[in-house]
Amino acid sequence: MLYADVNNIFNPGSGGGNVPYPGQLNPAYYPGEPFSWMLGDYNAIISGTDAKLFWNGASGPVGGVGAEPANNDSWGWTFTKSFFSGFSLFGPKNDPRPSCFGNFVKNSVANFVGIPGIDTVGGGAAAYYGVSLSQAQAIPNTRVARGGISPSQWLEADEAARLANAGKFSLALNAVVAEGQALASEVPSALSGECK
Amino acid sequence: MLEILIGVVLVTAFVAYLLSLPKGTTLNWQRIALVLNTFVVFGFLISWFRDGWKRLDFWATMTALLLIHTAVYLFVLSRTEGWPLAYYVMVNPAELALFAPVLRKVVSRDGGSR
Repeated sequence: MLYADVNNIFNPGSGGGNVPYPGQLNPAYYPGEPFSWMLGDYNAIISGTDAKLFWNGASGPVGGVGAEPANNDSWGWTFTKSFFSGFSLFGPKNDPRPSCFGNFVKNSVANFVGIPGIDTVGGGAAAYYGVSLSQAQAIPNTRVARGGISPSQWLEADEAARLANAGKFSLALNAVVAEGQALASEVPSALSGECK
Repeated sequence: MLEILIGVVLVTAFVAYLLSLPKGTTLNWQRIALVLNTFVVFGFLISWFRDGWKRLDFWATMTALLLIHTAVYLFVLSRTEGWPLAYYVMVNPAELALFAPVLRKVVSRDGGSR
């Protein structure tokens, strides 16, 4: 696309810029660099940090320069690049609001282990250790408590394996409940803009 | 892949439900967690003791255990400020280890009322 910023057109005598000869497209335009170019009829100079069009203040565009480089990237690649270049898991650093995702993670852990601020790895390890302990205790130590069977029969009956599965299932379910609880508290604050 | 799809659907439905709630409404998560964990404990027991499904004394025992479980939890939860969900992870297998022998005794009893 060709365009020009007409606000940056001024007469050669009023500002800087190389004034070579009519029609010369110098200095070369480097994207993002300041530039000033003389128009072909010496009536004006375009100045600024970006422009693609020579503009004659009186008679309109007189020529193009610095046309945008051909964009051969696919839409998908362009989208991916722009997404990841601007993507931040915890929100922009210059935004003073607390991070919604950070709060979600913190609240999930706090809901699960009940201690605000405890780290996720520690919480997970504690829960897993708890499951291991309960599995170790899953074989009752008296015959009566085992329903009249020996420990080996108890194991044979697959009770320990079943209890281990139940423990793992409980761990997964309660982790999901903790996340659901955190999500329920984060969604309203995210919608109201209290977090980023 | 199916699991991911189910997860996405469930989370989307949950967020949609949260958005549909009137402003300021908070869910009673303590009760939700208790109900879900009760389902876990008794769901596992019921699935483990298929042999007893046709026995009246099995269901009577299950009802009694459910009442004890609920009463104890309601008593404890009403007297604690916060009940971390990790406790359920430890208590559920312990409960199962306690209830399973009781139910096994009931199921293995000959001539139980059917």
